Amino acid sequence: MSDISDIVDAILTEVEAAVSGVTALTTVVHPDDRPDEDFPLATVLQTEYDVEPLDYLQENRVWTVSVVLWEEASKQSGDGLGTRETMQTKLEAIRDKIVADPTLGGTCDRAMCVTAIPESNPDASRIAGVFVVRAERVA
Amino acid sequence: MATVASVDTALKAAVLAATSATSVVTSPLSKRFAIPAGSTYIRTLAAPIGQDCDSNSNFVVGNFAVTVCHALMNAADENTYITGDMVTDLAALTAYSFWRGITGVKALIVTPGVTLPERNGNVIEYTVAAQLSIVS
Repeated sequence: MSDISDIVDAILTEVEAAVSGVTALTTVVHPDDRPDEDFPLATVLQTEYDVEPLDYLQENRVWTVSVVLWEEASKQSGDGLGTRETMQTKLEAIRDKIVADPTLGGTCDRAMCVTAIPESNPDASRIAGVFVVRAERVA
Repeated sequence: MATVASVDTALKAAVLAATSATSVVTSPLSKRFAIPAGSTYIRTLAAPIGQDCDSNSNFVVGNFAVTVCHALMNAADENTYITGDMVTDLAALTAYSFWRGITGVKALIVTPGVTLPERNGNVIEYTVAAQLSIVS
């Protein structure tokens, strides 16, 4: 396994632990292509790799992984479906899982959730939340 | 007759014999070399700074510094080194007898001082420096 696939797998494991019943996929999928029972749904949106040079010919390797979390949008109050608030709660639960496991199961030296943005549209059938994880390892 | 250069050479050998360091880096100031994980390298810096004298003769006085660079086995291994080899190496390098015992050294003028260890990536480094007079 490559470094990035190990890190992505570890992040999705944290998502599965933080969000009850989530379907976590390493591929990018359109939510409309998934059946309702797949929601909540987490898919990897983008990965980036950067290197910061350090003394003694070391590299601080930085992977940035963006994940989008989807859930069904609430149609009316009390139907138990997603709102911006429930999405925010899920994003914070994912953040807290990563805080509790900053090495992502030993795949990096340090990881942190650097961005978490709940998105919604009054007419949308889905609520989306994007979170970005920055993982670093010195090599 | 000893020189600053000959004492520097003897200092390198003495450090390798007295500490966990295994290699000497020839460039005293550069940090553009790699250290394998778990290894300790040293670099030294020696410079004449003047003369001292007694009733019979003059002696060259020099500043001598040893920088110890240790690459951690992994990022979480910091305390293992700091409470282990670093303690024993520092004890060796700060002993007055270590500096007085270097071939070509007449006397320890300024006792060894230590900079606080710093971490850069997975490398921990610190410097021990002393001022010595040299046998003429």
